Amino acid sequence: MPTMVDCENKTDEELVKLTLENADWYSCLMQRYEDKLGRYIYRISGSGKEDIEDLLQEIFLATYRNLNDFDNRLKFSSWIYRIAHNFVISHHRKIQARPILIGGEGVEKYLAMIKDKNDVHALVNDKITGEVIGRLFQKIEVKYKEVLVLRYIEQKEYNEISDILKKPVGTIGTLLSRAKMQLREIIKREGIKL
Amino acid sequence: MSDFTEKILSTIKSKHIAPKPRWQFLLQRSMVWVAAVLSVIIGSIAFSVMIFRIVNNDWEVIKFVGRSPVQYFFSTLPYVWIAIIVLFVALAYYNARHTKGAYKYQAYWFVVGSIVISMALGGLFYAFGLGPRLNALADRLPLLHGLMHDRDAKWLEIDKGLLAGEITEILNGDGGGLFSIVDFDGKPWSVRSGDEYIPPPLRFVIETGVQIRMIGEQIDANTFAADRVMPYHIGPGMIKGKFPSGMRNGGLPRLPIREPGEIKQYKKAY
Repeated sequence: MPTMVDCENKTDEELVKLTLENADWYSCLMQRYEDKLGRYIYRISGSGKEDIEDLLQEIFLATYRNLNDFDNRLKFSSWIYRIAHNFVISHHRKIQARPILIGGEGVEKYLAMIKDKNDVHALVNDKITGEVIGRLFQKIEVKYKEVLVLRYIEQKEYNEISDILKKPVGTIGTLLSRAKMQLREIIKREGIKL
Repeated sequence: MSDFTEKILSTIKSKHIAPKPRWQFLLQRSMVWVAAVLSVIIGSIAFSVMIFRIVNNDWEVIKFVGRSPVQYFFSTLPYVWIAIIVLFVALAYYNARHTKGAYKYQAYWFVVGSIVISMALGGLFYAFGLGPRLNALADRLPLLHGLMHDRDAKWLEIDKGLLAGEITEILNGDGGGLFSIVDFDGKPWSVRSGDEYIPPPLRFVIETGVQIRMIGEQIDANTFAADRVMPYHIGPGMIKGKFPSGMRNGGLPRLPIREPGEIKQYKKAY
């Protein structure tokens, strides 16, 4: 069984190769992505802990079964996020969306993503709660929510988001722009004071 | 290692879950490519037949059919082939979109690509004479034949001055006699030049075995006076109005001669 140190010294791609030889190495990849994917699923679906764990288990098992399909030209993180994305979308109707509460660093990132040239100072200087952000995200379409989360929370580059969502880079830019627009409209319509 | 990770790892081991072999993914990806390429090829073939049918749609004799050009155009369009083209271009697009890495490109490139490649390849197939051969093949399928405009039947409307068939004998010109033919109903005709006879261009060699169509008038039960004599098929794949030697009717066995009267049932089709 590989130790923590063994895992840390290896890249994702090296771990994939090692996992194909010995399943024990898969624990390194799972440890590396367990929390990240868990948060990602939560941010998109707002599911509870148990639902997230069930989904995570399915994602990790599917990833393991399809390891030979992993293309080295892609980042492993993009590939596993893509698998997670597929599971989240297909389970979206089953999973009841719940209010999402986001705090700390998350709030600042959400603020950054909805700011624009005109009201950047107003937004940043005002206080906003995780609860408000959660309410906003309940009203935004999943396709927009997902691209916002990937870009501003997960800090993914455009080409990585393109690989995860399997859409052209240009479309990602358009989606992001529309997502921000929709978010601003919701803020205005709901009379939410930031 | 967290409990969660340990749980999944033990599931993998206890259920003997293993990564699917690489060849399965390669096969899957290859199938998508094969399906995409096949769709383009079939769409292109359909396109070549469509060109052939449009070229051989007797545009020059519309006035003899007694219909307006617009009505004639829409009643004789090769709808079946157009539908086949649309279907396979759509399939080509769908399959191409599902190849690995295709998501990096905008969908319209695949739409435009599928159409342009099918048209270009179809044009090439037509230039190499594939159109008439496949048209002849499709004409033998009862289902397709029933759906398509029956050109043969149109050229047996003697009362409208239209006659077509295959030359069986070249006459010596006495009394204006040009040649003998057997029409598509199997009936023999003696053809002589009409009052407004215009000889066909020199490039069109009239000889036995050549399929021709004529505009003129019926003189008696077995005599036809032709004012215009034209090759039955035009375009690549034929040599001066007929299929290459031994390849008449698309290189396929000849159509059985229809029984007299059988042709009438097709006349309603157009």
